[in-house]
Amino acid sequence: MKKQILELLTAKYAEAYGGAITDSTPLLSSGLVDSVGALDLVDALEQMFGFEFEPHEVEEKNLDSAERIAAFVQMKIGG
Amino acid sequence: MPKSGWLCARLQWQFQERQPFLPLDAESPQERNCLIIQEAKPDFLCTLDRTLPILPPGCRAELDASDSHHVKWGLTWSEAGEGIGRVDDLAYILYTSGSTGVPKGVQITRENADAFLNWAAYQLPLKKDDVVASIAPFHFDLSVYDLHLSSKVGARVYVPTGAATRNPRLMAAELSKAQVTSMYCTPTFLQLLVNHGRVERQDWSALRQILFAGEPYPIAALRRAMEVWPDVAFHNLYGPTETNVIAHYALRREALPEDKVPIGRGASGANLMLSQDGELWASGPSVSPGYLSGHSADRWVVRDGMLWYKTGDRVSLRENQYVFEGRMDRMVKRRGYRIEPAEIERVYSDAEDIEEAICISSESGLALVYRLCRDSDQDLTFDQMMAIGRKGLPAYMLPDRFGCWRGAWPMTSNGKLDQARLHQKF
Repeated sequence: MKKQILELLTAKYAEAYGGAITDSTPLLSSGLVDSVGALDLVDALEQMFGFEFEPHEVEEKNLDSAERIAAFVQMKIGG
Repeated sequence: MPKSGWLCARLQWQFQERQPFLPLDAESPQERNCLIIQEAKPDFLCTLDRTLPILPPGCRAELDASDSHHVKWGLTWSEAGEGIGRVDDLAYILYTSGSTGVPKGVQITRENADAFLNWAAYQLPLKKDDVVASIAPFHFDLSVYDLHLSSKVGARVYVPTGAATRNPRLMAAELSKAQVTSMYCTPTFLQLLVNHGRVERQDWSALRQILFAGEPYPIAALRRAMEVWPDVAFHNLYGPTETNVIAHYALRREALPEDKVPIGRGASGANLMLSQDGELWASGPSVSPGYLSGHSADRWVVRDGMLWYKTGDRVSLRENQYVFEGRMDRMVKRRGYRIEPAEIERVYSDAEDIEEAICISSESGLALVYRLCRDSDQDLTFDQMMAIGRKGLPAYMLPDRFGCWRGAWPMTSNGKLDQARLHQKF
């Protein structure tokens, strides 16, 4: 799953970042992904993994890196 | 200070009591706010807690009062004099991005504000039982309607939580739960709400009007919003901060424009005219007398005994309605905010390793291209570039992409900067 997430992040952001996106590359807190970009990311993740973010779950702590996203998705779909 | 119900009430009260105010953007870097404080030289500063922001040289702060909502500081200045060029009858000052590289303070007099509010009270009235969503930040002039027209009639104002301002799903849930009846916001905000807010799951039965301003609303996106809110009246309001709202267009569902939403016809008692080169000029009771410190006074001209503000907007006249066509200068709009590329360039050109910076804008966003100082040869990383920007620019002005240019800037054959080549590469 993390591989899929990294592929998604790389396709979306590696060019603007000017380097490889790793597990811990900060996305929102670095400014790489702005507030609008975060929403596109949420949509992409929901489609990819077939779950839904609750309104309060769309926040930095669940989205700021591949690691955090993977942990959050795991929690949502892994039960 | 961040937005709150307390701050909303405080600004309403200061407006009624005719005590001029200057709303600072709490999310803006302290260095930028410090420049603003230095120019405006206020007598008081309100903060959320006892942490004082960076103050300009020659400014001393003494604790004046405090409660659980705010801390008030009295400011004393070693140089005498209020903000230079401050006009009488000032109601408030709103800062916008400046074409000279530093922010400019737009002075709005009581007469200016009342011209807009009286017009709005007649054309877009609020009633006592209205619930007005306060979506725009208080340093953005859309908030004038939310704050001061509602206080005139005693309508309630709903201030969304900070978390909701960053998250359309929460925002939609909050606005619908608060049973708001009126929203005044940017088209960007509405598009985010419609595309990402799960709006169709919420109850919008109380909502009766949506006012939008700040940027053009793409017609397809507007159609979608009208489908989501089928019984709501939509209005396009137009006017730079310097003029308040000077044009208004009420959308009619049965006769939607095909390509562009017109900005409409005069509002707030303003006279509008088209200059020979297609620029919109405005004159009238809502037009600000000028910037603080007399910056860019050439934006105002006297013709036929009247003071006109040159908006910098290119407009056309179609079927008796004005239509926005573009800018005369480099200014760009992003999420309804005005951005002068010169301000971004100044902040980056002042950075240690950067010789010179040029900001270019395209559909994919803002790119900053820079040339390094001679003794550095390593490109700066994305994180380093963001860190430089964060020290001097509000978040909405941070570039999306960065690129390092080696050697001299590309020039066209007639000696101008070759923008096309920069665009190609970045």
